[in-house]
Amino acid sequence: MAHKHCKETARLEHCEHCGSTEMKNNMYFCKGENIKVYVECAKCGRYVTRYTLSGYTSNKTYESLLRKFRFLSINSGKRTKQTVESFGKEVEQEFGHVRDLIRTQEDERRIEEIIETDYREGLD
Amino acid sequence: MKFVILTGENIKTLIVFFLSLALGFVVSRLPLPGLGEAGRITLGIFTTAALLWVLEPFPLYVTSFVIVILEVIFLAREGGPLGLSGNQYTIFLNPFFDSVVVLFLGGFVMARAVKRYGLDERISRGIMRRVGVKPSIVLLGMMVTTAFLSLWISNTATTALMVAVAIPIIKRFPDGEPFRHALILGIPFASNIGGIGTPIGTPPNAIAMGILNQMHRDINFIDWMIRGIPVVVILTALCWIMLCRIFPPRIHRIEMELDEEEPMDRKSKFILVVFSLVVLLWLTSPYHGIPAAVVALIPLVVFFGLRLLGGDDLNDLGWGILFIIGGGMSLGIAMRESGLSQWIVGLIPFAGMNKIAILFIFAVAAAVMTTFISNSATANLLLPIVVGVTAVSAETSAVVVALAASAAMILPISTPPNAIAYGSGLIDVRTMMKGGSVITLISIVVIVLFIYLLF
Repeated sequence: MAHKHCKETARLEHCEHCGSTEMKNNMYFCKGENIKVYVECAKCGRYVTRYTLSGYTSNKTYESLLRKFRFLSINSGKRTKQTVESFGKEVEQEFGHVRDLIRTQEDERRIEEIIETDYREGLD
Repeated sequence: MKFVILTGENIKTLIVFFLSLALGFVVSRLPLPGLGEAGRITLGIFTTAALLWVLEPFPLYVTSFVIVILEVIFLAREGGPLGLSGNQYTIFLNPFFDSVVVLFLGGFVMARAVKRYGLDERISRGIMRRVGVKPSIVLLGMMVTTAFLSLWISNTATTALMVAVAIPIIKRFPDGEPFRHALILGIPFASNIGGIGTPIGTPPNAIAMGILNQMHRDINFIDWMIRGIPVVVILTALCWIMLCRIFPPRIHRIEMELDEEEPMDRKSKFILVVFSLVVLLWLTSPYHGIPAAVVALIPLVVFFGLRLLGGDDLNDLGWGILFIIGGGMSLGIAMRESGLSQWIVGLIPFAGMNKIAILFIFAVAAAVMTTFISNSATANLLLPIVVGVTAVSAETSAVVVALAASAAMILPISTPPNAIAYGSGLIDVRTMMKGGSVITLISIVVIVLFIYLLF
């Protein structure tokens, strides 16, 4: 991802209790509210963390993009066409890049520490 | 954290930006007979704005702010060519909270609530459940639903919703079935057409209303709909007929599987009631006397006050589009105050020309421009000029240009709805051009004849 001009890091989610990296995502939907994901340790069944979704991109990227467009206010056909054409590829590339980062230089800090140090606004 | 500003893309942005400024400066120094200093400077600003809106080095709303900065520095400074002093420079800032901008904001809030609680999806599936199995009627159902939703919700959001509804239906048609093209093209076309119907349907409508209001030629919500809705109905019908003819169905029956309708929850019902009440108040504004812009504040107070919408929703409203409308109106003020509009109109030999011919020229100009640049930019650049033509009333010219700015059916880049439909991979550019050019021509003729003959 040559276009990224930020300090980047990546970390696999770990269960605080048993250290497992196998997780189950329990998704919660309530009409009118943001979707929440309650992450459960697949090994010991305990609560690990909760994510609040601002977007959702599945492997069907065009369908995901359609959902995104429903909530975006855009006015430029040129930019929309660029987004439509590049979105799927970008997501795939990003996924590969993040996986490589974790394999080669995974951040050893706890996720809270990374968020509090680098992304203070990221905690809800 | 290292923040890099001069990336490759930003360098390109800066080059285009400074070249646009430089060209604007050169134009402002040209010794043009009959155009005073203020007019020449405004022509320079107009040139810069046009280049930035066409080349899009950055989002369109940024250009709106560039316009204001240039206007205040070069036109509204103390002792400047417009002779303004003190805080009179605010005439260029005021359009950003003009009554039509507030009206549009209210429309965005209502659309946000409708989308957040899935009412748009409910309406679309409700209609599609009732259209039967005949392919041409399925297409009509889709187009009517799309046009209806885009009266109130942005064309882009409507298209995104309806393409998602259409794709599983389209996939039921065999490969090579020409009618697949009709189904996927009908959605963006109906969406572009539907936006014409209400002042909050698409930005060019608001820009036209705003510019007319500045000239004290008020056009209210119901006035707009009286002009817009018949055009939407006629064009949707003609577009449907043409698509059925250009891409005729080979099969006679299409089965659709749509989820069962769930009962509506209380919050959704409440939103529907508020929505209906606001629309009713908009339509009856001349009778109760509450301006449409003030009515538009009701959904803001109710939905945010009762926490049906939250901070995220507020952040995600279409602020950029509101700024584009504000920027266009600000440019319009400069063009009028500096005499540039009149000067440009004077260059065009309108004298002795038939009114209808003038309107056709305006509509064709708008349709050609909007094929390549955004409909808002088209309206922002054309409207301040056409309202100055005295041979035709300002209302008629402005409405024709605003409506024709939505006749952007030919290319994927013409509007976001076209780009979304193209992105489905179900049509290529040539197919879109084939259907779109016919619909564009029909749109121009219908818009001009309807507005000319009846208003």
